[in-house]
Amino acid sequence: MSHYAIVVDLDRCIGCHGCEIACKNENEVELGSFWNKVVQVGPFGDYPHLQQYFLPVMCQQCADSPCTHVCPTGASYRDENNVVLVDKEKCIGCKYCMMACPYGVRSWSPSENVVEKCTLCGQLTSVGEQPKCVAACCGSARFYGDLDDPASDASKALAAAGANAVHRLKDVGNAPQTAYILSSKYAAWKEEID
Amino acid sequence: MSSTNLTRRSFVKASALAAGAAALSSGVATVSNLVASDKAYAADEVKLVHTSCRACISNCGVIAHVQNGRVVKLEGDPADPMSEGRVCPKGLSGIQALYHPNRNKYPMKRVGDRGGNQWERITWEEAIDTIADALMDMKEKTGLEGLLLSTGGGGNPQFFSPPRFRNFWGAGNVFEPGCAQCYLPRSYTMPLINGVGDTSIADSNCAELYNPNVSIDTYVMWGTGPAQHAPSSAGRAVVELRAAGTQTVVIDPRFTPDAARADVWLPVRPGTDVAMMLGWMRYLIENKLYDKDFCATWTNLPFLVDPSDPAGALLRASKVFSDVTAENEGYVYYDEASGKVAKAFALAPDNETSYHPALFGTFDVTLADGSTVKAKTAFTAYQEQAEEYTLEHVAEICRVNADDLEKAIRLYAECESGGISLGVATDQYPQSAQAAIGAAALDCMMGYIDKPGSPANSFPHSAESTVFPDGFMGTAPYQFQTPENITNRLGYVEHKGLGGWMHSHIPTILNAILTGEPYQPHIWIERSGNKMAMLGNSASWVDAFPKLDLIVHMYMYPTSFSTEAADILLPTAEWLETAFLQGRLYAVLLRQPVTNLFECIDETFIWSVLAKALAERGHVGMQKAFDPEACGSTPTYWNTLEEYYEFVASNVGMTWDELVAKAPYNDVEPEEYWNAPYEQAYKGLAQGRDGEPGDSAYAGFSGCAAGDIKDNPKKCGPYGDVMTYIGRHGAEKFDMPAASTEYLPMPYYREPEDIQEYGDDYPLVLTEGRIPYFHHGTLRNNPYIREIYPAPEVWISPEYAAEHGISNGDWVNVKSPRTDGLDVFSNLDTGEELTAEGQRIVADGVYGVAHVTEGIAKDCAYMERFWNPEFLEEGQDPRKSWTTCNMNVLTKNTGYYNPEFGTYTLRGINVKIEKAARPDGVWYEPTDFAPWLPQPSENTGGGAA
Repeated sequence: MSHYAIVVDLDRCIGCHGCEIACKNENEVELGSFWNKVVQVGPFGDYPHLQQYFLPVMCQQCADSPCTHVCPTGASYRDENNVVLVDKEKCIGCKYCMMACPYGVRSWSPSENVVEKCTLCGQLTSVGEQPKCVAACCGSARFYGDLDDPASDASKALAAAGANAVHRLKDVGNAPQTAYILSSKYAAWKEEID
Repeated sequence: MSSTNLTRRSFVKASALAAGAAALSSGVATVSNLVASDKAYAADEVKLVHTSCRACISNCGVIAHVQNGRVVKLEGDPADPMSEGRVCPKGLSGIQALYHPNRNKYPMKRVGDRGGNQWERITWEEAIDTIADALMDMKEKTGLEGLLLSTGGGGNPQFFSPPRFRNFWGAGNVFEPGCAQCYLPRSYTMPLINGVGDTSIADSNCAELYNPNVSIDTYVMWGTGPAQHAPSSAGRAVVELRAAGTQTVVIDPRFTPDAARADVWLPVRPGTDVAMMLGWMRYLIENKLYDKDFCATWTNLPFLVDPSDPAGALLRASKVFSDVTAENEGYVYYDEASGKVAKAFALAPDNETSYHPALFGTFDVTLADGSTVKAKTAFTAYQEQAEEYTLEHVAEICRVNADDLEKAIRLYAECESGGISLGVATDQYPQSAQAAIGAAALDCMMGYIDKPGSPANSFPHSAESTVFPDGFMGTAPYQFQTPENITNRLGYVEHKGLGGWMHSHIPTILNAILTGEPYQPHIWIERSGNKMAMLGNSASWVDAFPKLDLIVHMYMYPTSFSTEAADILLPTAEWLETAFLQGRLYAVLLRQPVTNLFECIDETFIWSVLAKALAERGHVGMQKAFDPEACGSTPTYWNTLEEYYEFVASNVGMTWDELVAKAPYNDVEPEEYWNAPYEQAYKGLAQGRDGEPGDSAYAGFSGCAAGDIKDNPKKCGPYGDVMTYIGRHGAEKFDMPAASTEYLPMPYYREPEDIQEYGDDYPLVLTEGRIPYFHHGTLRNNPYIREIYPAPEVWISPEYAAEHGISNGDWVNVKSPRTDGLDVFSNLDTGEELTAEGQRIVADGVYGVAHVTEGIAKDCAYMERFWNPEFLEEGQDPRKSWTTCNMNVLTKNTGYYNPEFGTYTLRGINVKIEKAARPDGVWYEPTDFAPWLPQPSENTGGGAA
């Protein structure tokens, strides 16, 4: 079994938002929707000794994904690599999945009346390329791959970072797989974000 | 989904999936969740064109995917060693920029009054004839000097087009809002001080930062934010440095992404950088942290200062020794071994052991006339200059923590490799020259010059196809301009540093337009995005436009300047439509036209078309501008666009077709490029001419001595004697009149005027600074960009926000003494107010969205430049495009300009900020920007076809 996901090294993310535009260009994401959004966390601390990081948020590829559980038609599903996807032909636009997602990373497409989300750029990875946000990333902060494969870019980045520097968004029982690297020398990880 | 709302987007997807299903192997394409892969089409339908971005000055390598003549995708080109295949938001927006529905598509002429935004399509022939006839008419009636040209950032493939045209024309003035306020002060001054070059990471210098063979201990980013201005090249490089263990110091009023990763962040109060530099110098001297050997051997710090010179120029050897004349003029030093004052000499293997200069001290010097004076060394002069700038005093002036300050200095000084990159911040207020001297002098004192890991390094640049003006890189056989024409450039005698780019002084130009003194500019040809958003105190220009007989604006889109000022609009090409040869470290990239839309023409060639029309009308200079014999080594104008392309290729000795087939390529291999000899750059023996054996002296630093020093000791020049000389004589081939104010050899701190005059009523010191979405005035009409950054953020501290009832995300109103009629641009000679009427237009101040953050000091604020192209849409008030959110109506083109460059004040102005409502008509919600989504069109070959 594979678990494909993206790992983001927040030590290297410089908050340029290029991944947002790369994603929108590649996937023709409509105005008003983002499949990937960079959130600024901080600055916090005592001026001028501040900390801050940028947190790119996209589908967290949950192992126990609420979105697929609540979908009444099977439009939201996990494929054989555990990638969470939406089959737009089956989507009836009920938006249950958008309400179920703990991270708000699903988008509504007003032109097609369906829910959309990060696909890990399957159209690119299936022909051997990187997801567009990974390829464009100015800080080389993003790593794509199978978390179950120690040889994948994503697994290697996590291994190099060490367990203390690896974080995940708050788990409310959904087991998010997307992982973030943040060293304590740069900033303390914030479990709750405003 | 009903069939009636089948959009272009869903149609494209539906058809693509049908085509893609067979090509995709993993099976994921059998469901409807993926967009089309261009790889899913037969591969031969997508042509990959290697080109070079020009969405900013970084010029990163980009691969354009072209399908059926249209650009469908952009991605980074791994052939570029600076970006390594990365691409930033600006570059990624190239397709939306190229196919923007509001492109200027054809030449247009204004219908009705200026400001009405009504236009009528005309032919290129009519446009060029109108301009050429007007120019010849002006030449006949009032002479050559009425020509005014301007340029600026955004869409400028050839920066030197305007001075080149003016030089061929024979006289007149050129400006851009940057220049004295952006890069010229550093690019002109720093090589004269450190003998190597400026350390602007934004301008793709500092090659050493990309060197895989060295480790850098400490990198100081002073007023520069690579993560913001160039994420894909400089920002990327700094990420790699930090990952490799480089310690960084960031000096910036804003808590930028690079500040957030720095070992020390010093949130300097805007406008006070030079005080901090003097503090660093004091600390280095007091704690003997400077590189004693380098200072003694390779700098002018041991040279004696002339005690009778009003500016503190270095003592000339001819004053001391009767056998020294103008023919062998030199500097002098006190030799500790002999106990005598001696004339400085260029070091060589056979004389270096006899050089024992005293670095500090005051010495009795017997002059040639028999009198005796006391003369101190330049380093002692620096010690005295810096004396008052203790850590505590600097902390108070700059509002930084004294312990952090000391930690930063020690990180900088106590390392094996490192140095300072000085960014644009200090160029933007009237200490531009002083900060450039200061930063370069600090690196000289530390010996961080041509050393492994130092930003100040002399790596070669690969070939580029810049068209240099006559006189810039050598003078043409035909004399296009007289010394009188050059001297008459507005403000040039006072601010001689402007000669570095052959520009004129902006406030003196404005003064001339408004008063006719010393002469009246009549015809203005402008090429850039939006002067109303980029010129300091831009409302002061409104009163100037009626004084011009003809104003031409050439750009890719209409801007506020088009509607406020222009009589004729010329459509220029986007970067995906232009040609330029771009060096990137050891690599050579080729920006090449991927398509050409409508009747747009590469700006570079438009000047050629106009020159040809003038030549046909009998303008001799323009006739000679097409004559290779008259031009000599200066490139001629071109009869066709193809001739220009051949010129581009000729810079690397190829034909255009050969270059297109070869680019991108490595000029030298990386191993060879990085195998630089470092100190050999100056410690190596000088090369002889024409392959003859070199003379016996070391190469040294030959570019730092003043023009009268014939016996050049080849030291780098932290004591800027050369600046003083330039102020008195200029740097032209002829002697210019002296400026009325001396150019001083050492940096000095001068408190910003606003804080002195208006600090009580306008309590916040405002800075501006780069963000990753825009280059100067660009991309405010780009839908995906504006969706992310719909309105300018106004950074204020939680304290100020609480005091004024402002919450994060509130709209706020910002006012300065310029919007409130307190500080009006005035006659430079009489002081009479000239632009009160224009400045009244912005009496309501401007608006932005509050970003309440600890990342700005409580008495500071930050706002980046902005304008609102939505007000140029049908039925809107076009004036609001520059009066609503434009921080440059707050900035200051009045008062003090520094002597060297005439820099005015864009940063370190004072403002007040209050809560406000969102201004009517501003596009803010994501779907507001839908009218600007791209509308791809066919390759027409452009207007030159």
